[in-house]
Amino acid sequence: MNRRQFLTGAGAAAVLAGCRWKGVAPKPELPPGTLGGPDHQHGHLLRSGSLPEPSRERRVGIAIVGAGIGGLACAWRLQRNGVSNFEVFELEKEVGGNSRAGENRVSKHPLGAHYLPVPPPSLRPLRELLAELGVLTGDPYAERPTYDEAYLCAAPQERLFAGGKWHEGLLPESWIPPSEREPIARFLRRMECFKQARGVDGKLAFTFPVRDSSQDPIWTDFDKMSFKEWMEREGFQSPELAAHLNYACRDDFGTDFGLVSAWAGIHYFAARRGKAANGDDDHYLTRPEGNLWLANGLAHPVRDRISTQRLAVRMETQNGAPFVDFLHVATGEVERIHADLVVWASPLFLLPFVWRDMPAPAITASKQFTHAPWVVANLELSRRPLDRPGAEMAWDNVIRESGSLGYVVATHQIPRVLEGPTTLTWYQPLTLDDPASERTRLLGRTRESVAEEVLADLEQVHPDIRACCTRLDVWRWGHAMVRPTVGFLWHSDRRWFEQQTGQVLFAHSDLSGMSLFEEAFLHGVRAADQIGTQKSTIDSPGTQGVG
Amino acid sequence: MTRSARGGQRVALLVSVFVVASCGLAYELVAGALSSYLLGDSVTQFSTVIGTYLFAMGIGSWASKHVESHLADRFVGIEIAIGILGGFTAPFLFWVFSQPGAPFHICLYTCVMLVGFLVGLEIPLVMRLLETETSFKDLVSQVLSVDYLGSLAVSVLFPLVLAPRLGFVRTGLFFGILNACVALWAIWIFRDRLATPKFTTAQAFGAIALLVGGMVLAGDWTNFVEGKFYDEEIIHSSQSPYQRVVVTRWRNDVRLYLNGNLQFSSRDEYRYHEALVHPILSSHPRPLRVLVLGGGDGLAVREVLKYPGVREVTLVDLDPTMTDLFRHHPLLTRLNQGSLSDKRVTVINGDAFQWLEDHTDAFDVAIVDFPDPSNYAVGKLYTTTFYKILERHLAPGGMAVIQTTSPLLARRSFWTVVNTLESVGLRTAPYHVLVPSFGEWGFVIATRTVWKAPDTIALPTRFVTASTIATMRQFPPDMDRVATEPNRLDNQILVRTYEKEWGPIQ
Repeated sequence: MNRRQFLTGAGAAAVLAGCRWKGVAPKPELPPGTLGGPDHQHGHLLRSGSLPEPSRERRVGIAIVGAGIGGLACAWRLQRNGVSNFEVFELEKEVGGNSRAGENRVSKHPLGAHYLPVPPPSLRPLRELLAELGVLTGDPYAERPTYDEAYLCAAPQERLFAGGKWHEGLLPESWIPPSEREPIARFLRRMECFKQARGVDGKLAFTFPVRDSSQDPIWTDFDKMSFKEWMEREGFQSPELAAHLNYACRDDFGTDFGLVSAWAGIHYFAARRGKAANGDDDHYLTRPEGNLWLANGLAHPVRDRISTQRLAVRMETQNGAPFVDFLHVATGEVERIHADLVVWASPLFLLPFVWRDMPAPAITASKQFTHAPWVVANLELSRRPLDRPGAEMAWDNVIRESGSLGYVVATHQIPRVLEGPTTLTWYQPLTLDDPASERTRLLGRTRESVAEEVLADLEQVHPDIRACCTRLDVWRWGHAMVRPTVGFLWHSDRRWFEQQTGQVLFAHSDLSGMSLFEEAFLHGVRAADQIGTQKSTIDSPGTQGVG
Repeated sequence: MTRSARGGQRVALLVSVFVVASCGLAYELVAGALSSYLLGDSVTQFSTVIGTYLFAMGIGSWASKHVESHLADRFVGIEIAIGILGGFTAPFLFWVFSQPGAPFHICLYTCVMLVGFLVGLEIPLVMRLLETETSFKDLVSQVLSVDYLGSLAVSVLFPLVLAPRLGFVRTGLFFGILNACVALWAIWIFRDRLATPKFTTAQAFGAIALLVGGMVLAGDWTNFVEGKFYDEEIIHSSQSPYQRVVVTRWRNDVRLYLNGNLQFSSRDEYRYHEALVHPILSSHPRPLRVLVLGGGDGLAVREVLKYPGVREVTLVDLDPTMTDLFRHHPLLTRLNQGSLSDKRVTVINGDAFQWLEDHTDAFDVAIVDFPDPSNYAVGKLYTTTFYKILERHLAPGGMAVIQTTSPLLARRSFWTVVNTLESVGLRTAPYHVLVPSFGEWGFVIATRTVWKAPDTIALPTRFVTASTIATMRQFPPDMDRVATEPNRLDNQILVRTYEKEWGPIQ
């Protein structure tokens, strides 16, 4: 009997190649799923330079390029300010940028950004947005407003897998060795001090938006060293604290804490001052769809002024007025939009490819921006997986010894007693190599190879994850977030883009050097308000065809 | 032997590998599931059982090199031994568990080690039996792939078919029989290579007879052993997707246990259910529609139906096993007076939180009889969010009563519930009652305006009267009110408090 006979003999059972046991099994079958991501193919068109000339042109008052949080916030604020002659252009089919979401048979789930810390009263426009969406009730400017409890992240919020067990919290007492408790407590006290700290200019040392933080060198000099160096210099001798800070930096900045500016690292811990009447301090808002509810809330009032699948391919100033050429990626047509003002609400690294008469300092400045690539995977599970002992499944589940950031549970906010099918959203910033190499490698990967890595990572904590995973969708972010590396925030040309003069304004979280909802939102609002003050100069007839 | 005969022998051996692998995994799963069932903490039980088992298999494989001759005899002997040992592991462990002071863990891991050791011997022996006529690479690929296929088959069948249909004891015995059958088959295949074929055959038949006998008696055995465990006669026991349901009787005392926790004793449940139902229903001027959440035993409904004005009762309970049992079992329907079959009663099996969210019905009285908040899942049913939704289901003048654990043993937990209800704008009337089999037990009535206790209870009752209600509302200093934060979804402080208060007692 040869191999073929044997296989035939084993009959239909042999088809079930998914069998795994005792570790040396044949390669198991993967659950189905898709590979998605931002439209990098059309993005790469920009580099090739061979683009058709415009076949149509028309005029708008304000052209907003990009419908991520920055662009949407700008449009939303313009509308609130009574300005209506604007239009938003977005490359993707959906608005929201990093806040976009997906959906499987079980639930909606995030593809990127997935929570918002409750904002302090100083972030008035953000409070106004939350009140408009009905998530915040009562006085929107109160120190401790009341939030809709469906949005406040439910308990248990976080757990850490370490030493073969789950522990409640990310710096859990049940795991931290006694010798490390003192440095950790000291670190947390220091962060509380930084929350109160101000510079000689009277401004808070660490706050939102980043640009409102104190310019006193006593604080901005923290930008000159890495968070890791700072921690070591301050004598916080604790491997667990180091692991936690590295986790925090990779989570918020997609970058190892040995590269992240200490200023940015401290900002993570010391800039949030939000309080809620019905939640703990520094609590946060989340939904199954991540932050998409915020993006949709911004987009809804201006939805008929948003055009999607429009790639900005050329921007130039002609006779003192700017125009932008947009490629309609579905039809291949190029349309020229003449505008009084352009709000660039897209990643800054694209500018040199688009902006024909880009000022030389801007070109220099834009080259200093680097972006971290990320992978996000959404696992649809037919039931709760087997779990390792210890704390119950939380919203955020972090694995101590893993290159991933663990996962969040998309169904966590759905109030059910029965813990049935669910969706886990797995995150991984790619930080082993420099971003460009990681990005190239990422774009060459298949869904299958990522899915295999995701399942292997989660198998450490959920041994039967393959048995209950019915779908696994992978999302690749080539340029997920700007990296606040050492020196970038306060000692680079980054700030050129903050000047906001001329006819091109900027509204993107890239400007802040931190990819955070608050930053993107406030840049959008600020651009809109600035347009408001210039309104007299641009009170033009609005949208009209000229070609 | 001819080439084709050898081929046939090989297929037969590969089929035995498939069966043997199924059996091996089955014993492992039975031991893991049984210890999870008896000891709880399924993750620990499964990991340690599987770990020990695999380790023992390793020892077995290593030891196989010491089997140097009479391979066929040894293989058959091992199959018979595994059949007996593996098959009887579950009933043996059940029995050990019921013996006070018996070293259950030692027995468990000894059984797992022994079976694992023998299973570990099997595959190397089979490979050597096949070795002579196959290249090593084909051999390994064929034997191991069939081995894994067998494992797959059982790992699918066990949770879906075997454990729910046969139970752990019968599943173990069933695979014991399969093992013994493999022994018989091997005897036939190697009939010309065995030293004492007749004696071996007798052994195999003996093992099968023993195991079949075990199958026949398994039901009585489980009852006998569970009877020892509960110290009472078991009149019903079943495993639902949510919990283990056991009903016992000792003389005229009927008791319900869910996952081993006492839910009621028929001797004093009237105190609990009268106290839960009568103060609120008698205080409502015209209760037409009543909602009962939890309470699948129908005992609260029994009390509700005593009010002739009540037209509709809606009962929402998660577990159909419970409501079916209390609708059909003669002893239990006598206890709840057939309340669940009453035409005024609608039984809904579902998640109470979800049901309240998905429906808009309003009720005059809502009776909330959930399990205590011992984990985050159940804890959600004690939060501000839940009470706000509950309030939306109260008709004008409507009111709710909530069972609220023991104000004596879990004082802070009790008052956390009261404070939570008040934090969403409801008025509360907390009270407590002594239920001997539980201890001092607490309830809270929640209303939109101040609750007024009834002047009389116009029904025959054994315990609750207008004057007992007045006493029930007095809280002596050891149960007196404490200030707490409200329990919200985002903090779930009640689960932590409850764990702290009940943890040392349980």
